[in-house]
Amino acid sequence: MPVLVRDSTIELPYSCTTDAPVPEAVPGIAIEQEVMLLFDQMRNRLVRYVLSLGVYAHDGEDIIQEVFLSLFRHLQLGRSRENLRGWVFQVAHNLALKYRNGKRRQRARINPDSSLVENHLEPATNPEEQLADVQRQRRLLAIVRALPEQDQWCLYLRAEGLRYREIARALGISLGAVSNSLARSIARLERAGGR
Amino acid sequence: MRDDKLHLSDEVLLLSADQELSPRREAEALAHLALCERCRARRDKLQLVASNFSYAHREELTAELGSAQGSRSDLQAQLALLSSGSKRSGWQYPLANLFAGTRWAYVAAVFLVAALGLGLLSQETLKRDSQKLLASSGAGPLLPEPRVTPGVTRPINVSQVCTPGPPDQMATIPMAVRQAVFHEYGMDGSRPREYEVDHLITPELGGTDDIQNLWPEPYATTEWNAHVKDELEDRLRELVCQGKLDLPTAQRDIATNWISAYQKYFHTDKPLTDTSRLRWAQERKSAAEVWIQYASLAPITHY
Repeated sequence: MPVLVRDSTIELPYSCTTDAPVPEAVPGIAIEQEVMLLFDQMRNRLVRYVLSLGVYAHDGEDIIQEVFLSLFRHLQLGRSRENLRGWVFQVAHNLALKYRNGKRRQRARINPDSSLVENHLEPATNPEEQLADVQRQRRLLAIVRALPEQDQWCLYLRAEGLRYREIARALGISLGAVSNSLARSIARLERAGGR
Repeated sequence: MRDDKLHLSDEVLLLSADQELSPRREAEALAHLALCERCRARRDKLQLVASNFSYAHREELTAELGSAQGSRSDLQAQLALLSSGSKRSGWQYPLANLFAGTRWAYVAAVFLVAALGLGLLSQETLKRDSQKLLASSGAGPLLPEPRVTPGVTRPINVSQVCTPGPPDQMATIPMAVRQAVFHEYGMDGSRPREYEVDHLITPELGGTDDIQNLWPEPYATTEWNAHVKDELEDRLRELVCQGKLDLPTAQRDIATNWISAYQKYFHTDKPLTDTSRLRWAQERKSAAEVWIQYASLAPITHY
């Protein structure tokens, strides 16, 4: 059976790139510079996460702006820097739900023209394997969308490279709840043949 | 069914795979895994499924990610404003104390501080803000943002420049590229009909269709609009073909600041009106026969 895992090198998990704890205030670096650095580091992950919550792409950019302006104010007021990435995702999560409730959308579920089909087929594999890969990805995503929302959120945040304590902070739940949710969801995906 | 008393739970296996266990519990898990093939196989399965999901999730949504550039510029501008605002706020209280006692004095102090604060804003911030303001008011930017639209040229020589090409290059810019240009300028909601997605360096002077050579230029809502720039493009090409201006200079001048280039090559501070254009053309009649047609004037005038 072909394995879907490829080193897509989209982004490494935070744990590989900028391991926790998140920066102390760096003397000599203005807060706005620090915020811009975090924007560069986290923007794509945040946009993907808010999109996965059902927000429109255009609103997603607005949300990210609001998130980083809130971060600026947070740092400017000298508030806690502990688990800052979790804090940032928490703000994004709350704003995304607020937006989503205003303009709920059914994000286009993967259709036959989607990027999974067009852009990511590897020439090295044969067409049957490519098709099987795409179908497997669709099935995985469909199973996840059928899970309770909190389980979905945990999976999405883990996929964006967050550590469990960061997920817990973002969703306002305990570490145990994160661990339990992830184990339950991944076991379910495995049972459903998501390999 | 797995025997939980003999084997590690899915939760512990996943915690171990994600390196989320405490050192002591991790050591215990690793000791068990070293001896238990079944748990190792289970851990690998869970890890594979989790990785496959993460991959599928990112692949699906990465296609929806737009460019970060416009969003980044907006954030930078807003942070600059907030930063300057916070610097100003520290001044309010001492100034208010100078006028202590009256509400009006405090209001006056706040106005004074605001005026001083405005003076503290850098030229660059003001420029950015005015661009944003124009964009948000629907007028569009007068000048392209150099970081987004620095101008891009292809290799071209003077004889190619002076050989007539296709008349309407704009029509060749695909809609997707036009939308991308609007997006880069934070003008997603703007009406495309009111703008020309224009080449900064015109194709007649060697400019390309690269997005870094394109920006949304308003047709009519500002004095310095797309029609005025078209005149500059014609003028530069004319000068290059007459051997009065070298091509790299023409490309550089129009890319650096097309309004300044217009002022330089038309010897004027403001865009020429129809009448002044006619006068200007008359003054240049020694160069060659000039045929000009303006809708507001006689159909064709021969000098």
